[in-house]
Amino acid sequence: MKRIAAFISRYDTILLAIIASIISMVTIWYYFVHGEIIAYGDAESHLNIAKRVVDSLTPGLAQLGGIWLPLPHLLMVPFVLFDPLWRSGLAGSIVSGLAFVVSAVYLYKFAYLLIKQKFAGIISFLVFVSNPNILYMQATPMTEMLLVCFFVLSTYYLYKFFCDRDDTLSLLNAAFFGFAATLTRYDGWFLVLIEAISIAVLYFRYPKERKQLEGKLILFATLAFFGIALWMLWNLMILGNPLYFTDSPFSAKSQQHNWIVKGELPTYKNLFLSIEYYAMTVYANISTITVVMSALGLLYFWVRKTIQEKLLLITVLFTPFIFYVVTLVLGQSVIFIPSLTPAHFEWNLFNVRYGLVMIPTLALLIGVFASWRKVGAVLATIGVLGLLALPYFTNTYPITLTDGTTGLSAARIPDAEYFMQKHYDGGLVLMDDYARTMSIVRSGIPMRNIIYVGNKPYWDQSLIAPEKYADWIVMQKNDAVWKSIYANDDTRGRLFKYFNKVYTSPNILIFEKQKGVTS
Amino acid sequence: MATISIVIPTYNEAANITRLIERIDQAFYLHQIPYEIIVVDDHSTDSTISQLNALREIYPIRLISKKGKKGRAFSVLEGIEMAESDYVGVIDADLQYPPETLPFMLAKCLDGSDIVVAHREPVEYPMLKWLPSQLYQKLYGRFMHGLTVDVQSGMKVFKKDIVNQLDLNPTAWTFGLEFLAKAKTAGFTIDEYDVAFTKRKRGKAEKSNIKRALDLAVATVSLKLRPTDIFHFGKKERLEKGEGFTYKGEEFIHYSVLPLQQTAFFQLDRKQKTFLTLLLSILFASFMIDWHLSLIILLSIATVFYAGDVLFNLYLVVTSLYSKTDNLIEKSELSLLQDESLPTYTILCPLYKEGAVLPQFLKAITALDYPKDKMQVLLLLEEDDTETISLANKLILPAFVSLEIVPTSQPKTKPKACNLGLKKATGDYIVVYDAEDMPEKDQLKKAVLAFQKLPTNTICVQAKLSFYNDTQNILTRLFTAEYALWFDVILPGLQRLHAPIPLGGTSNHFKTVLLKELGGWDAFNVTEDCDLGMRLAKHGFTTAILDSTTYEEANSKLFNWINQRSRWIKGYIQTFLVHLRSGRQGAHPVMYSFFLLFVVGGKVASLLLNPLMWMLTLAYFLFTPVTSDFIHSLFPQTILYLGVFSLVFGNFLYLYYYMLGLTKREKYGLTKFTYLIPFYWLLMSLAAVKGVVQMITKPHYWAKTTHGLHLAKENHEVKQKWSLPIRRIDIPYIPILATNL
Repeated sequence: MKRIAAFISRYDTILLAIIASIISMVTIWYYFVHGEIIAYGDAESHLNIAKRVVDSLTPGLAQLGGIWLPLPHLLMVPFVLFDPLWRSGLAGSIVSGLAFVVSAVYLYKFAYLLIKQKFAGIISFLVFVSNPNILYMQATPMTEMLLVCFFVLSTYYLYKFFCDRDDTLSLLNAAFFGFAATLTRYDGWFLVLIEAISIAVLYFRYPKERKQLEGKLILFATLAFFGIALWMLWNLMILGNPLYFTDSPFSAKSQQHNWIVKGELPTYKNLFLSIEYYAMTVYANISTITVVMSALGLLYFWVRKTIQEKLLLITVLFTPFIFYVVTLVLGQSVIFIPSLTPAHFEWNLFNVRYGLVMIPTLALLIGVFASWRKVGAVLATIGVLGLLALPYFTNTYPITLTDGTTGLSAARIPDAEYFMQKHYDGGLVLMDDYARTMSIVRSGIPMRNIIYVGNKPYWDQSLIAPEKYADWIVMQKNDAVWKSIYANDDTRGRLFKYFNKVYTSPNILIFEKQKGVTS
Repeated sequence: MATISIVIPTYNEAANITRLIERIDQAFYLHQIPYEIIVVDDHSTDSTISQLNALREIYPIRLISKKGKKGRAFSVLEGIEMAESDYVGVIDADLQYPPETLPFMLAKCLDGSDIVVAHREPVEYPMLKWLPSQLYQKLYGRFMHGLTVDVQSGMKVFKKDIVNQLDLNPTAWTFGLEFLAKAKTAGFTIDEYDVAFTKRKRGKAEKSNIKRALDLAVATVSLKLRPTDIFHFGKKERLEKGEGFTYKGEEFIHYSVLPLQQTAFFQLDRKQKTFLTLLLSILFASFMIDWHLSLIILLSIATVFYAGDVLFNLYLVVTSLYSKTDNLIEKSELSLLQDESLPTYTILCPLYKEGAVLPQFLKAITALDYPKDKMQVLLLLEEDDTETISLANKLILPAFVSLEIVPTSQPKTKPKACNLGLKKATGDYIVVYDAEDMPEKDQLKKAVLAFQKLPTNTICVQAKLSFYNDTQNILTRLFTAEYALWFDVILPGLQRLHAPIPLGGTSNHFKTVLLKELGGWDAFNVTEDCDLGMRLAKHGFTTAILDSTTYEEANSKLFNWINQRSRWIKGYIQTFLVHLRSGRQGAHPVMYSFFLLFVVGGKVASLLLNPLMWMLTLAYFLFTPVTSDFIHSLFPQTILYLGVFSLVFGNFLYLYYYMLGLTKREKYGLTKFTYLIPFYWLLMSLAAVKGVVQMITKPHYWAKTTHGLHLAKENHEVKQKWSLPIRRIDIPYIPILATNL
């Protein structure tokens, strides 16, 4: 028995990685079988961006575009090379799954670093890996899990540096994973900012070491903020505007503007409501047990003496909370959640997955709680057992999956997809993929046969002379293709001259080039 | 024993030989000079041999039947080989030269000339026959080989030893020219003695004049094209002057047994020249055939090289960050050392016009925590540096410090002085410090302990270098960042990878015996430190990085800095070429070759390539409408991505490495200045261009770095300290600078 204990103790991280991997694979398999990996509309878009880098009419890095940050797509590239992985969404699941495993293991290490008790680490690990929303999101090509991973890694190393200010290597690691976070989601930008401020504050607390402040801060910030500079440079080079990601009509800011205009962005300029919205979003992703235990953990966090730089650490750990509240207030992000969103709004469920990013912090706090004498350990154990058992007693879907299937985030599956699956017999297909007219992965069309806005010369010319390249045209009411070809008298003439309408639905029309006609 | 051996090559000279022997005998008998005659007969078909057999009864003649190839030159060489005297005379058997002058030519030789050539004054000699001879002399002798003596003369007297020192490979008719040309190159003195030259009266010439002229012309040109010979000092000269040699008439003394092939004396050997010529020809041809495709290929190669360099450096830096191999010595270990058990230590300090920093150096050396009776400090002063010598003589030197004057000769380099110091070294260990150096007090003890703890094949430990005037100006700040990166990040990384360590020019500690066995420093290499580091690795030895710092003076003047840097780059090129020709060796041959090609060669190549790539990038962005299509056409997509990767991540990472270096060195206040590093890179490229030009024009020129500039600033600051709030230069260990000399 002692031998087994020693073996487990020695190879703890490897064993936990194996456990997390098994959990990850089983969950991915489950959602794969149920066809829910690419439930989110965004999920397919992420896959398609990665695919287009290597397999498109005009392949190349420019396909990364300038809105969504590029790292998740770049990490998917090796996997989307294989068509089945791309079409099934597994290319993204692999990336998210790996991120899940790393996050889980580092949460264990993080809790151990805080408390110096492996038990606390295991509790944190279990809280994280047992969360149904985490489990669903780690099975999808969405970018949240990757952000969670970099968030955990960066804060873990930053705390290591807090504990030993001569440990430059940890500072470097914190900066590096912060850099990775800035290229994963915009939340990462806020994270590195808060981390940089925390380093500055840290040295102000130690006047004798203050001469190190400048050097260490520059060392951290140069690497951590490099991703932001790179992204702006990329936007400038590819799209001619360093702030294209926020200024363009495709940006989140523009989308949120539409909600403001409609009067359906209640958190805009409302701090308290924003706090309430985000708190409820986090709550929607966890359970009451988690809330209670993490609240107790937070209390014990303040009294526990072994934890260093508590205020700085907790500020950094709550960065996602601050970020989402701030962006909700500024109208830069939108969340609809049934318990708060007025019923008369067009949509009541949207972006609830944002609450996911707080789960690592809560898992850590529960780990801290577990170290509160025997009482904490017993209660935490019961709590975790409760969390593990909860899915068997409740029959509810993870809310993130509900959002992906029935919320605004859900991908639409129009009938036109089935038509194309059945009738598409090769040739280039002109469609406005940004408007998500239909799913490319499900329709069976090879990515290299799609003409969309990112295939610049083909796209521009096809909107003027659709017959030049395209054999098929798929248009949705009021999308770019509709407006340029169908709603334009000149080009509509050409459309009907060279193409036959082969599919009609209230929103989608499909045209096929007449046989024997050459442009 | 005869004073002189007269060598006579013969072929069918029956009409002249008896008379010639008689006249030679008369000439020497008259002057009472003992002589011998060696006749080398080239298989005569007349009565020459029978006559000589008869004459042997009367005169001291040795008759040798030719063994080697046919031809006068080979006969002469065989005869010289048989000579028993110290002096040799050579005379043709056709009686066109007066043998009576031989004693006088010998006398001139005995007076100090190495070679005396009979200068022919034609008497009753047909002008038409004389003219070609004059033409030959002017064209081939004077114009092609710079010889002012009569190169076609068939009569000479010289020291036999000279022939032994020259590597002669004559054709049948070119002994005279090759002998004289090589003797001149070797630095032997050649004089003339006027003699009357008459036409042949009896017998026939062996070969037609036309054939002979043709043979001479071909041989002369090929002699010119062949590499010039090196003439190493004989035993006597070595004892008098030290190890050296003569080349093109100039003496080089380097005090090293290192074979010249392994030095930078010659920049390129024949194979390298051939390879380079071939490469340039292929390049030229490919550009003529398709310049655009050639440019694409060249840029692709450069881009792949850059990307490889980025990845290698990333790997190196990450390895270094996780390495703790430079932290070898604990303080507690130092305290356990007993003075009695410490080995003897020699400290070499080569100085040239650096009197200003000498007192500072003496203080720093005196402050070393090491028993002084076990220290031997040799101040290596150049003979022509009278100023420093006189200054040193005025100082009261501690007993363990002595002056060693390096006689003036070529090359005038620091490693040459160090080689002389190595010969005089008595310590078990030896270290080189520059005059402005301030090593940490416990450095010698740390080095001793490191040697004890490290494997026996660790022949050298290199202390880290940093600067005490780091905040003097922007240049010194950036220089400090560069040193911090090199000594605190790169070298520990290289050590971890078992790569050769290019030594810093100072504070490298050696096991004296092994260093002597390795031949010391290459006196011709202007970065002898880098070369020695490579040589150590090649011989299976390793270098360790010592966790101790020597503080130096950072170059604070731009032009001074460029001079220094161009010398370093020139030295890197020299090192690259020297070690490229000596093959792949060492305990880690793959790493050795990789390091040689990519770190030594690649470093220089990138410095030269960088400005071109930057200009290309700038041209792309500044003049996009005009240049973008053309530049795009030069980079296939994959190469373009690699290029952009190197441009963005490469430049960023290199800049960041400087920050890491400064953090490791705890120079936090300098970190922000690393954003100016790109300008520093520009300066490095500028220096690289200068280094390459110098490599061609002045390969062994040692651009001396001026030291003591920080003292001038210090003095200036002291004068102004009542009027201006100024920052004091922080110099460790020496609270008061000796500037009152």
